[in-house]
Amino acid sequence: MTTRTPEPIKDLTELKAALQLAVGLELSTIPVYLTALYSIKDGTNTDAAQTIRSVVMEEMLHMALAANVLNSLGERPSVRPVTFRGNQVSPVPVYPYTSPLVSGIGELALRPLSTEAVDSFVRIEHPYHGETDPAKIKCPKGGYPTIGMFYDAIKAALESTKICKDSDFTGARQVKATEYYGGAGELIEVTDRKTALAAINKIVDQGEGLPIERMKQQAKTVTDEDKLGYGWQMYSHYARFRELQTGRRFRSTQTAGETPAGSLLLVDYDAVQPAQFVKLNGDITGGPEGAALNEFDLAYTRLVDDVYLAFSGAEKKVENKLEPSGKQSKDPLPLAVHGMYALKNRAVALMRTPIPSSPKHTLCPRFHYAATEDDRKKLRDTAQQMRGQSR
Amino acid sequence: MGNSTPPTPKQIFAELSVELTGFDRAELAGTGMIDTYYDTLLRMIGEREAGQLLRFASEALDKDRTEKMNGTAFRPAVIDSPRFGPVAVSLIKLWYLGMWYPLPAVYRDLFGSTADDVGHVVSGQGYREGLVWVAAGAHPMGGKPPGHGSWAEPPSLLNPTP
Repeated sequence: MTTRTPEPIKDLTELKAALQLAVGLELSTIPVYLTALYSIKDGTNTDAAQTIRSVVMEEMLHMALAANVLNSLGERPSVRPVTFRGNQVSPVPVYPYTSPLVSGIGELALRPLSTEAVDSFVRIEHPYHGETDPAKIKCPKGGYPTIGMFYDAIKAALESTKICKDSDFTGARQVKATEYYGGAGELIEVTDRKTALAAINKIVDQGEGLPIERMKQQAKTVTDEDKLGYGWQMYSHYARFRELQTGRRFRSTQTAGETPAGSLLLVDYDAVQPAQFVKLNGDITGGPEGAALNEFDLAYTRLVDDVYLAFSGAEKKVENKLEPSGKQSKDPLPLAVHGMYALKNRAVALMRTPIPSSPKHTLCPRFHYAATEDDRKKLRDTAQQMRGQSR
Repeated sequence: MGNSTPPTPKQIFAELSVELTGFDRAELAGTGMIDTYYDTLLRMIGEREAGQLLRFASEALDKDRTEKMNGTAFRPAVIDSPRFGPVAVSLIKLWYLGMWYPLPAVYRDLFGSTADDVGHVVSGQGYREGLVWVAAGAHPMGGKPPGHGSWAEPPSLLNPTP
């Protein structure tokens, strides 16, 4: 086992690259949780669905928070590969995904709600990703063993006046808290060093970068800012997923490190679509089923593009036949939100559709981001071909 | 679908539905309504009659496929048939609107009827998954919300994915 100490961030360029990857890191967990959430059959597993949904909402918040910090430092969030310590890293993952940046989380796979899926959620959100000692986690060259250490490095860099001067925080292109958001926590506009650190702390408080000391604190105690209007208090993702994993709620006196011993949380792993992930070009699923998978990927691609376009402060040109020019400029953020609703409907539909060669299983969304125009054309063309196959 | 094993009645029903609705197999399966509508058909015209419909439909579709007849076998066998045509029309409405429309009096006079054959909404999911919404590029009111402000966008059909 190599015990390499994670490197501190050395300058502003490296900090910006790390923040680009932080935006991507937050994005990368969302499809993992969404696949489980959307596999739940309508009207069943209400508590499990609510738990997963609440975490997904906060991951979206974290992505926006990381983007706000990056934007404030004058860099536009982008899907393009980032050079980080000599490695080319793509911020948007392809599943199954092993992060080259943070080794502890292991492989991120897309699975319907199952005990394996929930185990992996707990691993992602645990401070040491399931290990007792972070020194046991192999540290990749230039990377970090845990998400916590990655964010610690970002925080240390943001605190250092040598790495970023006060004047480096421009407050540019902030996604504002006035945009509707129904989850716990609040979007922070980053205008200076203090708000930048507050934004990173918010990510860490709620989520994956949870410090190990929290395991000795009450599982359900959180800061007041994370109280929702109707009184529900946010508590850490780890504690929420531990409850799912054990099928029990934490009692209010328990610490996060204990095994939940409160009331039962009813999870029914049978009321779930038997979706089976097949990667792009893995097992050729032709016919209309293959076309539906491609169309999902195209819809996801458009959604990711819209989100990044919104973060980069750009307008989106959309077709509108009612305009004299045939084009209209729109704010891409609401378009991205509409894309999220549409994506849900597509995902649910896929997971109801049997795989022809293995009818006991249903299709599983691939969340494949087609990075280049060539990739997109290929998805479109093969979709058209496959659709023709059984008409 | 392989040639070795004969298709199950439900598979034939799905194939018949593809032909009647213009939506493909995956789109229909994606609604999650195939099982429900198959059961509805059996309830409305009885198993014996449904068996006959599926048999004639399956033979005609096979013929269209193997002899490349482009629907010329299916149309007279099902759509123009006084016995199966009205059932096919009710099935189309069922897929598009999520509601069973009773068979016409002319049909009942000739082929009889079942007590269940009255106009009714088959299920809440049937309403949400009605093909009419997809065909119109719209969404079912009160179900499948498309997001705040989406009403300012052109219908999704005019605004396809990238």
